[in-house]
Amino acid sequence: MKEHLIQKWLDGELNDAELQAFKELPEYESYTKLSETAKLFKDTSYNVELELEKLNSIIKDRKQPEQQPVKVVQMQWIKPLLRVAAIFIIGLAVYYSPIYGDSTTVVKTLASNTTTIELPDNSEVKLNAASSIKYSKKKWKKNREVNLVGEAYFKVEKGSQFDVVTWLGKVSVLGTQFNVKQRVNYFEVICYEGLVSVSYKGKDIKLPAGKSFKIIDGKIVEGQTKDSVPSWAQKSISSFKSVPYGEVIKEFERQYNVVIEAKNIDTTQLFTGSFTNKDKELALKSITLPLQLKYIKKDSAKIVLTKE
Amino acid sequence: MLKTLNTHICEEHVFSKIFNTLSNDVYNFLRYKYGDGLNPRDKVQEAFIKLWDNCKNISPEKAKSFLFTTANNMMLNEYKHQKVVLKHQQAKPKDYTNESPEFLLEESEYMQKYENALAKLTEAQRVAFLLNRVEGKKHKEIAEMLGISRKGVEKRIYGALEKLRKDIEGI
Repeated sequence: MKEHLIQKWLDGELNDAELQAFKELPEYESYTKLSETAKLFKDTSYNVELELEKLNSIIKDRKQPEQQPVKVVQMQWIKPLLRVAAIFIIGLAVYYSPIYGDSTTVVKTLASNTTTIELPDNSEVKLNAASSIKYSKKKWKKNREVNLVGEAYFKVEKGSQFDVVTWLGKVSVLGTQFNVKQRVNYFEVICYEGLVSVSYKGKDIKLPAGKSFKIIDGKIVEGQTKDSVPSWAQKSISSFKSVPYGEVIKEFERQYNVVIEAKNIDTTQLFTGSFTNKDKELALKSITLPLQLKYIKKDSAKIVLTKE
Repeated sequence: MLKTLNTHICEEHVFSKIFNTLSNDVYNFLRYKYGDGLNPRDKVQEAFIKLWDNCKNISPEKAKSFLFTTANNMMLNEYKHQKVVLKHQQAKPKDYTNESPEFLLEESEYMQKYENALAKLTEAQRVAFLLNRVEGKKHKEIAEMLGISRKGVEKRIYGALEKLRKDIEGI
């Protein structure tokens, strides 16, 4: 019955009673809006007279035989040129498509944010503050590869080789849990489960569970961990073990989105300790008190550290 | 309808008359079926040129179906299954600015959804629906134009309306 009513409305055949019934339908407004909006797709620029003039001039032009040869000559040199151009364009398209194809997915976190990403095979990535990863959904089945800038914790589903590429080194695994931290002069991989292979400057280093691998200013340092999950991912705590103090400051800046100025402080001295990512005041104390430093808050976004 | 008895398409005034009556319909038919991307305007011209070339062999009564078929075939030759894009006009002339940004955003989102939903209709549904809603053609006229039954036209238009509603309003 309703369908019949609407069909009659569409054909403009409703009588008064039917029109009233139609207006009382709950969908009445939605139908009229759909109908009204359709009218906007009208092309009012089509001018029959103008088109007829154009058509007549085309038909008349064809009757003049002198014009024919000119057209043919033009086409003869345009055609090969078009072919060359087409090959060129296709070449460019093929060359650029793997890089700029819309199949790559990029996830970024801002300062003082973390996020969890599920990859196409259910592997999980926890991204720490001010970091980003890039991967291709399309090629995922063939090639499990993630580009990383910053720090992330990976829980990899078992399967083919899984690569994490950073500009400092590549980390390859089959299925395991590990953390990768990549900073300007700092690169750290901690393996929590399974076996991880790190390639750095052409060398392959195998990392079993509980071991860590660090590169500080080009020097390799091996270490250990007792945790089963990185503390930042589980408890929102940034922890450090023999890490240059400068890196600790930078991590603090990322976690709290502030700028820290270190006045006459040795930023290369090694720091072992941790700070929470949730309480700025407490965190500041955690990183200053052990080294007997003083902090002055200039404004909400700037902190100055000095010796006591 | 055309008074076509004892006339010949090769005569210029007959040809012009056919153009005046039918070119807009052919144009709209092509536009709604294939979108603006494939130059429906040029195809109308080409179809009429073909009609002119064959004017001796085609009776005026057959001109209509000849034009629709020819134009459609020409489009099919170029049609590479790209998305159908129809251009639309601004919803209202902007002579007042008391609409809130939210309202304007909603409206532009609605238009965007509308465009996508139109593209998702089948060709048959889109043509029938737009000829009816935009051009105000009666079901009977559309049936004649497309060479199908009136029942079929009703079905297509109603189907299109419900599908649009579903796609746009997510019901």
